[in-house]
Amino acid sequence: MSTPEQTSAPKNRGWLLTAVGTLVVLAITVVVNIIASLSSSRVDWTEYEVHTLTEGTKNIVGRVDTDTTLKFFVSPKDQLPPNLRPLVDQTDSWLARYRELNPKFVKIEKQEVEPATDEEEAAKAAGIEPRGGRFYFGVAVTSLDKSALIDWVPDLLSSDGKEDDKIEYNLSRAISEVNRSKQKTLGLLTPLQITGNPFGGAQPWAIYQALKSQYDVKTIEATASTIDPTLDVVVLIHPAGISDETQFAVEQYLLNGGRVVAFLDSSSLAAAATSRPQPGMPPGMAPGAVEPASNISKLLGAWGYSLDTTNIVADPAYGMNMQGTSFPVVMELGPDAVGDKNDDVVKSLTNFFFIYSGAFSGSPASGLTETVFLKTSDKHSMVPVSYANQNPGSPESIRQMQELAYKLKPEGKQRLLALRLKGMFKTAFPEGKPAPAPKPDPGAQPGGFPGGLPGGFPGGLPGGPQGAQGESGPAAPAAPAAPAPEATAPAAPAGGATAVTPAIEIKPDQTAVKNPATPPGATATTPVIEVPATATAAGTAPAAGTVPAATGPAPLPVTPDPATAPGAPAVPAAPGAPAAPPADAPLKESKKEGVVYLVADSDILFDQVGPVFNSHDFALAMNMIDQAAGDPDLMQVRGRGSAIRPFSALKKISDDANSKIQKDVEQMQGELTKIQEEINSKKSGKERNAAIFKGMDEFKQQQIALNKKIYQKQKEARKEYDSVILGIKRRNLLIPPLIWLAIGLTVFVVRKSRTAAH
Amino acid sequence: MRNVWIVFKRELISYFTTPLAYVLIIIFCFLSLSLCLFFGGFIERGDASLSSFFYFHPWIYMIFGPAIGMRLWSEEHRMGTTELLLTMPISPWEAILGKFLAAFTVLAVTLLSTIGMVFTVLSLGEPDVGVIFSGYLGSFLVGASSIAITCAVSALTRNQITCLLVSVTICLVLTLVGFPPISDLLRSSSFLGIKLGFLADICNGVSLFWHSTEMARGLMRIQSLIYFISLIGFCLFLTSVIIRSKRA
Repeated sequence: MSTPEQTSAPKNRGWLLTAVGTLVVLAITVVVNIIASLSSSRVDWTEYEVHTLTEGTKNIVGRVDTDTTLKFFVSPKDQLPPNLRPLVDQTDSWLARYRELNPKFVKIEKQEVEPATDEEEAAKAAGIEPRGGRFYFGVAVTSLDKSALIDWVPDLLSSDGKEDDKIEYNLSRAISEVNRSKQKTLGLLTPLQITGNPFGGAQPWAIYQALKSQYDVKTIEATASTIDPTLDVVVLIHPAGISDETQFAVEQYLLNGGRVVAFLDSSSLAAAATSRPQPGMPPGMAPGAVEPASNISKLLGAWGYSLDTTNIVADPAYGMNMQGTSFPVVMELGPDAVGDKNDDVVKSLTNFFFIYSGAFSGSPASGLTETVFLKTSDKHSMVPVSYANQNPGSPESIRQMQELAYKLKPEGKQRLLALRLKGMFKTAFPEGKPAPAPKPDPGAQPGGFPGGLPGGFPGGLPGGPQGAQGESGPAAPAAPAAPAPEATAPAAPAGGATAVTPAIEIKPDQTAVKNPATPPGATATTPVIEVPATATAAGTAPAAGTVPAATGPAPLPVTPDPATAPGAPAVPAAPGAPAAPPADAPLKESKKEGVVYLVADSDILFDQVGPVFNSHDFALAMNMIDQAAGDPDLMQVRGRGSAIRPFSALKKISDDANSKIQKDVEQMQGELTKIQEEINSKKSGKERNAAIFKGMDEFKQQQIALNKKIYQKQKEARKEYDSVILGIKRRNLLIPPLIWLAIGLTVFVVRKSRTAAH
Repeated sequence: MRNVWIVFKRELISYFTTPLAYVLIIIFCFLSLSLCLFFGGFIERGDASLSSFFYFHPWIYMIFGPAIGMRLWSEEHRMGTTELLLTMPISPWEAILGKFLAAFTVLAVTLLSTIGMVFTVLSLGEPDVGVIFSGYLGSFLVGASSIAITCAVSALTRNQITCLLVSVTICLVLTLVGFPPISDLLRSSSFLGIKLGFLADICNGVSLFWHSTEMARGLMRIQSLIYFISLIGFCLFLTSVIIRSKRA
C-alpha cells in the first residue's frame, strides 16, 4: 500500500516538469522573437516597394570605399513634440538599413543632443541647427573632409510611412555627394532668379540646390555664342528672349553629341514672379522683366516640333478642382498621362502638377526617335494665355474657368507635354552662324542696378534710372555681370518704371501677355527682352563693350558656378577637352548621337508651384537631368511610391455634377454682375436721390434672390454627390450583415422544419 | 489529419447551428464597417486605401476573438465532455488544432464578408492592391492570435464569461502596449533615474497593434511573422499542457 505522500510525490514531480517545460518553451519563444527583432528582413507588399531600398541606393552605398559616417543628432525623445517621437525610430531604422548595405565603410553615430552639452556643440559644429531654437533632428554625412547635411529629417518622413522615399533620396544623395571624386558638369541657362534674390531674401530654388549638390553647375549667359562642349549636360530653364546666336550655340553643343534638357513654357508664372519688384529691393534695382513664353522655336522647328506660345493647355480630364470649380488649365496629371511607363525617367512616377502649360505638336525629324513621357488627354483644348490667371483660385479666376468650361472644344487628339528626342540632329541654321544681334547704343547707360545683378542674366529689361531705353530706342545692353552667387539672377536692371509697376497684366483676348513696363507702343507680342549679342566667340567675347568698368569682368559663354568660385572669371574649356567647332565651320548635323529632353512647363521647377503640391514634378526634372548626364542611380531613388491615390471616380462625379449646373450658375452670376454694376453706377452718379436708393433696394433684393438660387443649384449638385456617398456607405454597411441575417434565418427555419418533421 | 478534420467539422457545424456565429459575424461586420465609414473618415480622407478599415481591427478582435473562442474548451469542461473527447482515438493536439481551425474559419468567413470594401475602393480609385492584401493578412493573423489566446484561457476554466473577460484583458494589454500614446508615455518616463525608452521598444515588439499597423501599411517584417506564429504556437502549446494536466 502506498501512502498519500508516496502518490503525491510523482504527481508533484509531474507538475514541476510541466511547469519547467512550459517555461522552457516560453523562453525559446522569447529568444526566437528577440533574434527576429534584430533582423531587418521584410516583405514589401506595396506596388512601388516604398519600404525597400532601391537598386540605386544599393549601388551608391555599395560603391562607398572610404569610411562614411552618418551622424544622427536628435534631441531626447521626451523633449521632442509627440508628433516627432515616432520619427526617431523611423530614422534609426533607415540608417540601420544603410549600414547593413555596406557595414565595412558605412558607420552610424547617434547623439542625443541635450542643451548646453558637448553633443550640442558637436551638432552645431556639424552644421545642424535646432528648429525653434530647441529641437535637433538632423543627419550629417561625412567622409574624409567632405560633409553633407540633412538638417531637419522630419520634413522627409511621415508618420504613415508614405513618403519614405524622400529620406532615402536625401540620404543617398548625401552619401553620393561626399563620396564623389569628380562631379559632372552642368551648364545652366535661365533668365529666372533660381539662385534666390538677395534683396527679397528669397532662397535659391530647390532644383538649383539639388543640382548644386550633385553637379558642378556652370552658368551659361543668355548671350553666349558658344557652349563648352565638355559640359555633361546643358539645362535650359524657360529660355525666354535668347538670341538666334545663343540658340545656335546650344545647337552646336548638341550636334557635338551634347545633351540638352529644356524646360519651356507658354506662360511662365516664374517669369512673372521674376519680373515683379521684390520686397526690400531698392528702387530702380528691379530685375529685368522676363517674357512669359520661352523661345527656342528655331531649334524646335529643326527637330520637328513647335510650341504654341500664344495658347496654353486646358484639359478637363486632369483639371484641378479649386473651390468647387474645375481648373482645366491647372492640371493634376495622373498615371494615364504617362507615356512610356517603362522608361527610367517616369518609371514609378505617377502624379504631376502642370500649371498653364504649353504643349508640343509635331513629330520627330528624320534621324530622331521620340520617347513620350507625358501627354494630354484627347479631351484637351488649347486656350489663349489670357486664361493664365496669376492668382488661380481667386474669384476672378473662378469666373474665368466657369466661362471657359463652355468654350472648350476637345481636340480629339493628344499633345505632348514631356518627351525625349534621341539621334542624329540636323541644323536649324543651314545658312551658318546667325549674325549677332545689333550692338547696343554705346551711349546708352545700363539702367537699374549697375551692371545688373551680379553674375546675372543679361537679358532683363533695358533701361534704368538714366533712361537707357527710350520709348522708341533700342534696348540697352544688359550689363555683363561679374560672377557672383546670384549667377542666374536677371542682370539687367529694369528701368525705373519696371521697378515700380506690376510685372504682368493679363488681359482677355490678347494673344500674348503684355508687360506694362513695356514702352507705349510696344505690342503684346513684342519681345520684352532684347538680348544684345555681345559675345562673339568663346572666351574672347568682349563684355557688352559699353559697360562701365564697375560692372566687373566681361561675361563668357560659360562661367563657373558663382557659389563655388565667387568672383572668379569664366572658365574656359577644360584643357584637353575636345575643342569647340570653329566659328567658321559650324556643324550641319550631329557628329555624335545627341539627346534632347523637352518639357512644356517650366513652372514644374518653380518652388512656389511644383514643390507646394505633392507631385512628382521635381523627380521628373531631376530624372531627366540625371539620365541626360548619365547618372542613373539617384533616378531610381526619387519619386518612388505614389503618395496620392485619390478617389478619381468621386472626383468625376463631383465634376459632372458641377458641370451640369455650370450654365445656370453662370447665367445667374452674369445677372448678378449686371445688378452689381448697376448699383455701383448709381452709387457714383450725381443724381443720387431717394428714388435711386429705392431702386437700389430692389436690386439688392434681386441680388439676394439670385444668390439664393445659385446656392440652391449648388446644393442640388452637392445632393447628387452626397447621394452617391450615402449609397456607398449604405451598401457597405448593410449588405454583409443582411446576407448573414438571411443565411442565419434560413438555417434556423430549415433546422426547425427538420426538427418538426422528426 | 483525419482526426483534425473530424473535430474541425464538428466544431464548425456547432458554430453555425447556433445563433452565436451569425450574431458575432453581423456585429463584426457592422462594427468594423461603421467605424471605418463614419469614424475613420474613409470617404473624407479621399485616399483610395483601406487603412482606416484595418486601423480598428486590433481593437475589434480584442472582443471578437474571445467571443468566438470562449466556448472552445469551456463548453467541453462545463458539459463534462472533455474526458470523453480525449478518450477517443485522437491526440489532444489533434483536438486542439481542429477546434482552433474551426474558430479561425469563423473568423476568416467573417473577415471575407467585408470584401465588399475592396470592391468599393477599387471602383472609386486605384488603390495599392498589395497593401490591401497585406492588411488582410495582418488582420487574419491578429484574429488568429486572439483566438489562440482565448483557446488557452478557455482550457483553464469552465465558465465562458470568465474566459471571455480574461481573454479580453490579455488581448487589451497586448493591443494597448503598442498604442503610440502608451509608447510615448514610456519613452518620456523614467524610473529610479533609468529611462524607460527601451521598454517602449519591447512593448512594440509584443504588441498586436504595432505588428498589425505595420502590415496594414504594406510592410510584413519577418519579426512580425515570427511574432504571430510563435504567439499562436505557444498559446496552442499552453492549451495542450493545460488539457493534459487536467486529464492527468
